[in-house]
Amino acid sequence: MNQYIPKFYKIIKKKQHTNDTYLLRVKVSIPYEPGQFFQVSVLNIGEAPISVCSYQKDYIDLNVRDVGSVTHALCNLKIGDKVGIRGPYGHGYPMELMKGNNIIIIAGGTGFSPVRGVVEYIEQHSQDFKGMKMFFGFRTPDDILFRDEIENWSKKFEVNLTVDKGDDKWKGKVGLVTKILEDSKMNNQNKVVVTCGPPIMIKFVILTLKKLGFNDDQIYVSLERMMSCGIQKCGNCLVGGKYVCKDGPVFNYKEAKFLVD
Amino acid sequence: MKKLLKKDGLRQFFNGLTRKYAIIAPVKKKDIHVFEKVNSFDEIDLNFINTAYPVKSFFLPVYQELFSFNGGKINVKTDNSKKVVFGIRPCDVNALLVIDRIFLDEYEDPYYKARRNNTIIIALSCTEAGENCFCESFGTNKLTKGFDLLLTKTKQGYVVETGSEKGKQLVNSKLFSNTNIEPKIELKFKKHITENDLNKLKQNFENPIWEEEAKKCLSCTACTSTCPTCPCFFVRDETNLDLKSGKRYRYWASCQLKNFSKVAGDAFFRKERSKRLKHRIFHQLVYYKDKFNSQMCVGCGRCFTNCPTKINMVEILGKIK
Repeated sequence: MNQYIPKFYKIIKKKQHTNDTYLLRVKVSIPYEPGQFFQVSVLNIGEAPISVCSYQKDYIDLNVRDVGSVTHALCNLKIGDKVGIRGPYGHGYPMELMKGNNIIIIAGGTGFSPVRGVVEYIEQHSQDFKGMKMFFGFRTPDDILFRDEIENWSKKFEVNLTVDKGDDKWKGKVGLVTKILEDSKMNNQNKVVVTCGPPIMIKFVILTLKKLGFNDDQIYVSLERMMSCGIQKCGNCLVGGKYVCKDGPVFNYKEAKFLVD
Repeated sequence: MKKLLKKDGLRQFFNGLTRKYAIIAPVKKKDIHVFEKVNSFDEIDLNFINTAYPVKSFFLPVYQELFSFNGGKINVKTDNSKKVVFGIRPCDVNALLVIDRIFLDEYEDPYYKARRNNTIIIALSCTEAGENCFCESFGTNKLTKGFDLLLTKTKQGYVVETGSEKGKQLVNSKLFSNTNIEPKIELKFKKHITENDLNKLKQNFENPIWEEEAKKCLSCTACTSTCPTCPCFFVRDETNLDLKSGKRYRYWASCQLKNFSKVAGDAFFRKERSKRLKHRIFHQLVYYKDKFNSQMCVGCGRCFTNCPTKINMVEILGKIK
């Protein structure tokens, strides 16, 4: 099978979340795990790895931030347009392994995308998990993604939301996600952490978790790298001897801490 | 059973191949040898230590179309032409085996696979070690697989070993006679990498030497381009003027370029040349081995032979205390 050839599927929903971030719902029935990614194509423009932002049977949600040429083209697609998909690739969050624990979700900015799949998974398998706590950080109130969903989740789970910088209307918490994490004063008993966000955020989240008493192997991180193939050929995502596309993008922190440039 | 091909039989054997296959063989260009498509025995020159560039580009072209498209229609072309690579050195055959482990894994690369399957490898043993050769350190001066024929020059002619069914068919001619000659190859190497060097390297990810050496680096990518095992690439789409049709292709990339570690938002994981130089050497000597249990570097020395500022992997390892 030629892995480089994308297949084309229809966009059935499009929703703008912020001025540069859109949700695209693609109608396709492919089994996938939260934390995996797809190589997403717009012919004539190119291809980019986009992490799957859902856990559903009949569609995949892609949360796309308009930052480069491919993501820009994706954000310009309309409902009914077709998008090229190949995958899923890589290892997602080990949901089976995490069962029986309290799941701590920590995400910043677009790092929200892969963990949304984890939340959907846990909602569908709630009897298998002790519980879930979420910590979300965004730059400003205007950057908050999936506002309605976060609102809904907060009725069922403990949701902590913060913005780096508030505005006149914002009545919630202001400060970095590490601040609300530290304030939670939670211990590490029966907990597994699922985290995704910019590298600098991850660095300080880990420091905070260590302060709270978490062990390396209780933490799962999702790494970001450029990928041209998704199948361990192009070498773009090789770091510290691991291919983020195939060995990751989700790594246990006891392994991820050695993946340095 | 080994075969013997008389020296004057080589021309006839070679010209026989040209009737069936496209031949890629060493050609002399001023003071270097390079692999080129040739039409006759007269074009080639076997009086070389190794070619300046490896055969990599015949299996992973600098620019390779993955598919063309028109609207939503995708069209794939694979190169199924029958070729012979003639006169390739053992280190470079071993280099193809290195790339095989990456490109013929569970996600088989169909473009590479087609070229590998359709290419006959006729290797030529070394008679002399080059100034910068250190293949002996990794055992890649020897060939146990990966070839169809292995020719070794002796006083009596070329002793020929067969490494495959295809190879056996090729020597099934009057030009080849049975022989008991065991060719003796004694090569004297001036450069070496030891197990101890590799262990020291592993422990010196943090070392001022990387920054020191990187001061000389021009990020020209001569090292990765002329390396027989560096296979990294980027992918791009190219649009035709109708704005509908076009093609997706891959082209050689290099970890020595800053752009190679770029991610969204113009962030770079390996902005500093020292990190890029270190990444290349660690990939070649540490990472690949950890994954595939076999050395990536085959010791051809091209990365420093072709480096305009002579950044030398073997010397760097020697300097790490």
